[in-house]
Amino acid sequence: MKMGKIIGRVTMSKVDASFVGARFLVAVPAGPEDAPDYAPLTPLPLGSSFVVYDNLGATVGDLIGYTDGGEAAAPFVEDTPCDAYNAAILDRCNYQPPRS
Amino acid sequence: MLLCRVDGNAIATVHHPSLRGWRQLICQPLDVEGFDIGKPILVADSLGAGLHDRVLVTSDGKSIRERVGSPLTPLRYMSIAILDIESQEKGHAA
Repeated sequence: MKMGKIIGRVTMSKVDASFVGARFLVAVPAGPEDAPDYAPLTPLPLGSSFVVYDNLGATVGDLIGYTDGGEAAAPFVEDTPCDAYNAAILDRCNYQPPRS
Repeated sequence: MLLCRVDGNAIATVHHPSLRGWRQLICQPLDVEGFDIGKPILVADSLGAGLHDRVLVTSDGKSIRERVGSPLTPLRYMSIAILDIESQEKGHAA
């Protein structure tokens, strides 16, 4: 999984049939440094946001573990055109890179 | 496969059911010389890799689905080896 930070929500009026009732959030790629208890929010890179399918109930400001590419469509029973799936809401990150 | 260094772990109480029981390590991908490349990724680990260990990570979804035992798992990265010895002659990668 990759790490992302939720910065907003998306509501759609017309969606693919397999997405009826789905919940979409806007996220940007993030690193463990963006974890709430780790460091102040680093400036978000502009233009790198993407929409992630969510049924875990993530909210704005949450750090999530999302999966992209082929594996994002794996959790769906029927074929679904999904390429970013929120797989985990990260509560805490113990991030200790070596001080080299 | 990716060569990564373990830089920590992440705890998630709310997650996809197939992630249950899998440690999620924060791993920093490394290039041939061992320098950081790209952003850290979350790797499912069952080998017990410790902090700052070097691990070999697979991103092959099919083998991960078999290992996890659920065809619906969204897991993408999994550690398959912990590297002990780093030997690198000139011109050949580790």
